[in-house]
Amino acid sequence: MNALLLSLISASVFAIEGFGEERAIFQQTFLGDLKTARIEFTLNPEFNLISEEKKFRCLFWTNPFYLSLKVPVYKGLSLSLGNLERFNQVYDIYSERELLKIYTKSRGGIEEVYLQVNQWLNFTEIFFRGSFLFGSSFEVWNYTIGDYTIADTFSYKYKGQIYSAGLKVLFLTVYYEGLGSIDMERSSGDTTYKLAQVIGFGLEKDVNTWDYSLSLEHSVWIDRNINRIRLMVEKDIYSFSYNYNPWYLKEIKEHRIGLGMGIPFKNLGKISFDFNGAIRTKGNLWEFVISPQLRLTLEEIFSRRKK
Amino acid sequence: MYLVHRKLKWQSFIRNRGCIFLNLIIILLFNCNKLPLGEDELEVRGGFATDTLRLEIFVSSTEFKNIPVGTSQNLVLGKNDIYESRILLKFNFPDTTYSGLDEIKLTLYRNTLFRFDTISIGIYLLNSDFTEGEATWYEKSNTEPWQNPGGDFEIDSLRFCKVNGDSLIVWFNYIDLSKIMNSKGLILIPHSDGFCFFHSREGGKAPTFKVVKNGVVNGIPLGSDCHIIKADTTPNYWEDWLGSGVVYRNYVKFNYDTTLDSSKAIFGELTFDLEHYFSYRDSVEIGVKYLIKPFTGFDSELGPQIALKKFSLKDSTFSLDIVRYIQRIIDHPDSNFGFFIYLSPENYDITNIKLIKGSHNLKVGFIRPPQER
Repeated sequence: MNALLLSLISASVFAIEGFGEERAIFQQTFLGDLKTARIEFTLNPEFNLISEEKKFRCLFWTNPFYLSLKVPVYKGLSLSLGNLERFNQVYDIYSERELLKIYTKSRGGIEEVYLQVNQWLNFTEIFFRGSFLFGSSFEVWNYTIGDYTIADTFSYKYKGQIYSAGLKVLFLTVYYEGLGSIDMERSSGDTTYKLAQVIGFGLEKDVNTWDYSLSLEHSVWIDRNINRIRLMVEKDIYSFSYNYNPWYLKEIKEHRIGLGMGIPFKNLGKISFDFNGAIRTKGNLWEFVISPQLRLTLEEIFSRRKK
Repeated sequence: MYLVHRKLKWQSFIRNRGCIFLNLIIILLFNCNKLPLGEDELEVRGGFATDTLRLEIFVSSTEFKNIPVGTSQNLVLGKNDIYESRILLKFNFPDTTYSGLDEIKLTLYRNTLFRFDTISIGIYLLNSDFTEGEATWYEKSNTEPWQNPGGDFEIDSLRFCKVNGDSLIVWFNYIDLSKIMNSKGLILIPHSDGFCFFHSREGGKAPTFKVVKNGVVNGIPLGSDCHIIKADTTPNYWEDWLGSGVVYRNYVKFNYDTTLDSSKAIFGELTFDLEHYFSYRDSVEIGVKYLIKPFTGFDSELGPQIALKKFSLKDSTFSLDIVRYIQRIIDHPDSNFGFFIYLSPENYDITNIKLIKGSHNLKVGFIRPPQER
């Protein structure tokens, strides 16, 4: 059974480079309603379809299970705790070069556990978040020439931290993420890397029961700067979003759209279904990603108990 | 009518398209193809230049030793112009006074994996104790030599017989039984040329000594069983031999080539050619162990077995992959102490193989490995 599961787990071919696929982008850290307790479970499977010169390869994998917990503490002060996947390093690549065949696959990544404080002051919400980063990954490289096959393994361990803070005044938001570093432990020695600094701006506006939001992120890596954009429209239980996300790895561009539906349940919370589709490109290589997301939010139960 | 027509239309659609959908689902869910899509992405981690080279041989020679073979799965009985092998048996009789016995018999079971000859043998009484795991042609234990190499035994034989068929059965009388009980064991000595191979206790079908009384069979517990071998001629050290029974190990060392520096070995194809052999089986297993310290002869300190392969003795060339040895000398070029090629297990039977001098070849396939993240 494990072998079957492992054979199913595969993801972006681009995750072979750097820290892999960056997943913690456009994180909504303003909570809005700070009066109710909330617990959220998210499951996010992903289907990948790689295409190069009219050939296709399908991959499927499931992201880890995410948990988020928010507890109101005192007069507009709220504490949150949760986990995320910061970088995903899962990939699965075959290669054939004359006599040499290579099959390499990787599992693991860098996880994040965060603790966040939000405070509501009149028309202003501020937050501060501290995150502990940890994780490990291993790569298996299989080389075959003729009848001979040999395998080699690389393993990595990660430990680090990153902080962020933000301010929301009426419909304007600004946030900053920085002071991030991560220690990478590997056979050739330990190295500490600085993570990108991110500054983000947002605009949220309700117009005739339609909610519009626009987010811009400027991410500063050592060797390059990235600008990302996110547009979102919500009405009642439906939502639509578009992300433009050039990766921190060179030449990789990603366009993502999302369609969402949140079904509220009285005295319980909400079940959200999001359907995300993305296209990643690098030269002739195209990667199509279909990522349905199921999120269960329980909040009314806590508020009812509070009464 | 319209509904029936519509239903049929749907059934037809499902039939025609069902296979396509099913295949699509299987492809989606089971990740089934292995197309090299995105292989260019590997280049962010390295160039993976591939090459092969032949290492030059530095030295090859043969080391030999008369090792104890008491833990062998076989008991070898026979002789020719090079070898002689005798079987030693010791049974522990629980009773000192047997009477009214109908039958007293010793049985050895032939190992049918070997060819066999019809040979004449003699059974003699040992007058010295021996230690199964330590006895050789020259020593009855690690600390004591035989008075006469080949075992200390009574000059007068207990029995003469011929070995034929699937087992050797020898019947004894009361007088013989008394002598056997009072002796240090039995020794089976070949009197004519040829060889027979019997199962030992370790081989799963141990020799038995049974006494029958009124139709009730009582087995006498086997205390020790082993064979001892001598070889009248031994290889010259500059020749290349492999041997079991009397053990011949072929020591080989190749020069390290700095082209291999910082590379990853994918294979190390070691080949050598057979000149002639002596064996009663059709195939042999050949193993390789590398030296972890400088060469000091037969007892040089060895690492784990890095290759083991079965070959037909009809083959003229043997080929083994010793990539682990190659990777070791790439990682530690100052630890290139060479390796031993040997027959495995070395105590299994009596076999020797002479290799053609200068036929050793070592072809290495390697790549430049990827960088870490």
